[in-house]
Amino acid sequence: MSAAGPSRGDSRLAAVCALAAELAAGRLDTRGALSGTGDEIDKLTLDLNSIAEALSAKARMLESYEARLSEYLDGLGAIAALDFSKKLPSSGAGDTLDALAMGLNMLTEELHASMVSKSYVEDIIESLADPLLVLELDGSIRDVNGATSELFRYKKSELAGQSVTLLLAEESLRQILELPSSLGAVKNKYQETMGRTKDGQPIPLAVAVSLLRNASGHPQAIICVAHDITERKRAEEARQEALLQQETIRAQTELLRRLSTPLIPVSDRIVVMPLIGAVNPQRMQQAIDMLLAGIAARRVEVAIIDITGVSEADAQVANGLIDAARAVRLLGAQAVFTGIHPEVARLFVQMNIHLDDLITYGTLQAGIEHAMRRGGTRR
Amino acid sequence: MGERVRTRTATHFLGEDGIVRTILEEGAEETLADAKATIEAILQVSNGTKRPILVDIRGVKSQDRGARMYYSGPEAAASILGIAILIGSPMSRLLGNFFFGFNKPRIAIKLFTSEAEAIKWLKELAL
Repeated sequence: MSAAGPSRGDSRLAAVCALAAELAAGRLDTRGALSGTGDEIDKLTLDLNSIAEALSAKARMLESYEARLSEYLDGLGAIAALDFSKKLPSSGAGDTLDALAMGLNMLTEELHASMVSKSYVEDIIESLADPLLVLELDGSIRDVNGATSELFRYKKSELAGQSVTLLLAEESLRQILELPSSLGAVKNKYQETMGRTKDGQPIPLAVAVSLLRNASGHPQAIICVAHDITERKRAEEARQEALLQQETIRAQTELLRRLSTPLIPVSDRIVVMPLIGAVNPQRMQQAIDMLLAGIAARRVEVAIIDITGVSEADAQVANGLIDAARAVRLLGAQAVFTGIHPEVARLFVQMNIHLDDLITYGTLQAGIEHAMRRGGTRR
Repeated sequence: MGERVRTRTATHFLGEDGIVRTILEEGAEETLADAKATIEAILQVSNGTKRPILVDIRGVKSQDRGARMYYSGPEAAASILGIAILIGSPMSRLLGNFFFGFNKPRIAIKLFTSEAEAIKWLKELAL
């Protein structure tokens, strides 16, 4: 520098200093002019221009990063608001931020898929007609579905944290708590127990109990699905009652049958069957069955059928008596009819039944005497 | 070296060492259809044998959930002995780790940044 003022070299140096000051102040678009001489000042200016270029590029990159990060932040905001439609773009550079965008996109897909499946499962549980209870391993209620609230008449909030014995019998809890300690040997249990509504009404329940395990197989919760079996129990009771009633009727019918067609042994070889009251075909058949069974069992020689007490008789009864006589004869015994009253006699005549084939006596006494005479007296 | 099969996103061939190579194209964006095509191509070059696979995903740009689910599903498990995934770029590193964490594949799988190490592991796997 001369005393007359700054030389040309000094002014170029001042320009370089000014350029450095501009760059230091962050004004990165500034560039220094070259003299074209290629001297040291030109070299310095070139270096500063290169630094300015590099800093500009860095600044642009930072700006771009800032913009992309801002976009990703918006993306995160959308995910937080459960809007899974937004997909973060890739710059195509394959840099760390692109990897970050890809990671966020993949996380969004997974989160969306898991939330859709969670919501799907929740909808299924909520739409179950049967109560479903999720219990902690100590038997306290973690969660229930709508059907549980409805059946037991508690609000969900009233049940959370309460012991399941609020709803089920104490004995059930003991059986439920056995499941986690079975170490996987028992997969599930089924029990019939009594439940209780909020207002104390008992409800018969069938409860299926199973364990919810995590990926490592450790029990996480107890799942109970209860089914109200009130109707089934009522139906069972009604069926039992009907069976009992049927059995009583059957026993009474059998008793009546035996009483209405008794077979009275007079001796080892003589039996008497007195028929009393109205004789319909069914009763006639019963009498024949009983008479034949008695004859076969006792090796009877004379069977006296006393119809003194028969109040009404028709052609079917008359035929039945004839059939009885024939069947008795086929078994090797003799049938004797006693007490034939005028109505029956008239029927026999009207039906043209040959009385020669039948042994008849007016009274039971006469019939017994006949049988005795025939030799049926062995005792 | 066996025949080369090209799919939309990768090239597949059987090496003389018995290891199938699947090399993803630069900028590959894999979808479920691509994953199905890849498994089909691997089956084709494997000549009906379950083989170890070296998958070079260093060029991958993205992979959708359908593709990830398919690779971790029974079809892949039935066709492949084990997979060494070659990673390098931030994206391939992230994808490889994501596949491990979220998709829990049913076959032996390991991430490598060195091809030599990957082949060594695959050979041991095939023993």
